[in-house]
Amino acid sequence: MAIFLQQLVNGISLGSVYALFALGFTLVFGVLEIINLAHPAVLAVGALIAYTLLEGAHTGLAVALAGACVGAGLLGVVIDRVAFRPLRLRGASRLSSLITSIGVALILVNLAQIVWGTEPLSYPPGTVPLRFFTAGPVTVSLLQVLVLATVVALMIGLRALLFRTRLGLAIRAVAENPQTAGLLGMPFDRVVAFTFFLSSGLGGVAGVLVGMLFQGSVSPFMGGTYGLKGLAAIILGGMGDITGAVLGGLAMGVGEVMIVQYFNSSYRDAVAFGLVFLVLVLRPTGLLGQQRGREA
Amino acid sequence: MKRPCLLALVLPLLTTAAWSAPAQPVKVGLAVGITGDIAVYGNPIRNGLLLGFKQINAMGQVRMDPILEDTGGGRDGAVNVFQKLIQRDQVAAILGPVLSSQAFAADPLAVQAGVPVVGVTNTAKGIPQIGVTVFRVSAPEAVQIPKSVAVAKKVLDLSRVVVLYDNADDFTISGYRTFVDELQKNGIAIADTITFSRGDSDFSAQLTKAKAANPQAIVVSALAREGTLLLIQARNLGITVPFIGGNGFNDTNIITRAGPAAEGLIVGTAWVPSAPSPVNLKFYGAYRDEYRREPNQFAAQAYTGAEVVAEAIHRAGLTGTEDVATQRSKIVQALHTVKNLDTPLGRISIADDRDVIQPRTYVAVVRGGRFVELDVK
Repeated sequence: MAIFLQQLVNGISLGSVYALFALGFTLVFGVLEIINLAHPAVLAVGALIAYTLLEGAHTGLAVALAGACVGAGLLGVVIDRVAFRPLRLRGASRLSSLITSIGVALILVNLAQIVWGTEPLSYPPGTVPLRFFTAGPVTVSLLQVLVLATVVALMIGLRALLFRTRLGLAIRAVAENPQTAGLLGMPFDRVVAFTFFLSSGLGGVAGVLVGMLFQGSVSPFMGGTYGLKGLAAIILGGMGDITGAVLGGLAMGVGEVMIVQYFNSSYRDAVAFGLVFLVLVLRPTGLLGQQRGREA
Repeated sequence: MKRPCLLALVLPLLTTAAWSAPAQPVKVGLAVGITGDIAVYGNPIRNGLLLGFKQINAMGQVRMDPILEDTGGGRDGAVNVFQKLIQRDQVAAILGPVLSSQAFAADPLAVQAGVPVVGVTNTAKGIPQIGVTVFRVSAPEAVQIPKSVAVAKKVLDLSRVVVLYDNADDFTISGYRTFVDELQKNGIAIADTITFSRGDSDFSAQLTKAKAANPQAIVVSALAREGTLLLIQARNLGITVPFIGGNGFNDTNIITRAGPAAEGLIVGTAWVPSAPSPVNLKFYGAYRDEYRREPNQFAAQAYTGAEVVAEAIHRAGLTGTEDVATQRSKIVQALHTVKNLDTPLGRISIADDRDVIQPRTYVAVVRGGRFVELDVK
């Protein structure tokens, strides 16, 4: 029982990282139906910007987080301008956007290698709160609690933004029908740019949290594994659905951990992706997705 | 009618040029991953190779022209680089690639073209068996791990361990198999075997499971990045038993990054900085001067690889003016005859099966933030 509880904690912690990644991922998909495979690279750049702020400029954690968020967000706007907007203007197929995003990811990861080098980095000791709570046999770190709390807060905040504000209304209108929204006077390009800013900013925050959670993992390649897992999480939860992305991420995390503990660690990814396969076959809209499958 | 005419004109020109030209450098390809997730290995390897070439060329007996190509961390990158080096650059020999998994993918191309390959860091089982032109100077894990296990058993009085390994890489899988064989031979029980994959960052599930099995030590076959993260997370989860690692842990950067979490880590290693031979001192000092860093085992092995290829070129008596096919086959023959060569790794020889014979390897433990030799009392 003690081991089960500890593994549950481990699973929720891993799942909240997937969820954090999936939030930004699903936002762009929900609005533009683009699967932005450059998102893992944006996550890495966010984490690296925070590293420079902490190590080079000796700022506090709050400034580093804000810097990573804004830096990654602006990067997202640039990516949209350079890589996706020209395709949109030409009315290219969605497949082109997908391939373009792979190209952007390659460019970003290689640029990051030139700027920050290839060796894995750690945030300077002391900046990351390394506190542990022990309840009987179960250990939870302050960071794990922080990450989960951030995910839940961002999820609620994002939903409020989309459903309670005019900007959210504009985003949803654009998501619903770009042409009509444009005819009704919505500033289409600005709404899209803002969506990219939001999505990439979330990616940047995710990067910093991942870098704090796993010391010695900050590198241009750190987003690599989250691309596939994050995609799986949003398929599981329902493409474009914000709550679904979080639940999908958590389900993936807990599922993987339990497979390692009670089944066979070699089958971890096979079972995780097998689950996604089953969802796609049995309920293509995902666990929470409706027929239109779009919320944002 | 045109072709024979042209040939008649060009042929004498070519031959006279060949005769009158001074000895030319022999082209040697360096296939090293200096970007991507294996750059932590690749950078010291490149440094060791280039330092070796520089010193050898300065001595003047042998002239070599190093052509460095980046393979990245994957198999496909290594294959592309081998193709380029063999076909476009027409190199006489290749040093590299970094990972055993890359060697299994790329070396067959060299075998097919008759190009000698000297692996400097490939330690998985079966590397020289890839083909008749594949050699290595890196002591295989099959030699290294038995020693580590035997020493660790004596020092820690081991009877029960958990084995963790990366099941997404040829080298770590090969290391895992060797560990299992040796643990069984030494009568050490394996309480649990748990896997993870290259690229993972979160090992808490695996470590929680390992902890629950209550082992005396945790045996790990992993690459440097995953190994470092494992050490840090194990300590955070309250695991205090020592770790026994394979060759992937042979990097002082792991100690730098993992800090106190690396204390007590036991690894087999082919090189220690303190080896007192003049060749090693010369290598160590020159490396420090050139790169402002301490060399590691991989840098020493790479330097040794450069020495071995230079020795083969010297023994083959190549002047650099032979056609590349001749150079290639002569280097292959000469590599077989390299015996008792004085290198930072000690006096090494190439065996008939193209594997390295290294008289002395070490078992090291991390104490006070440094690798020190582990003594058996």
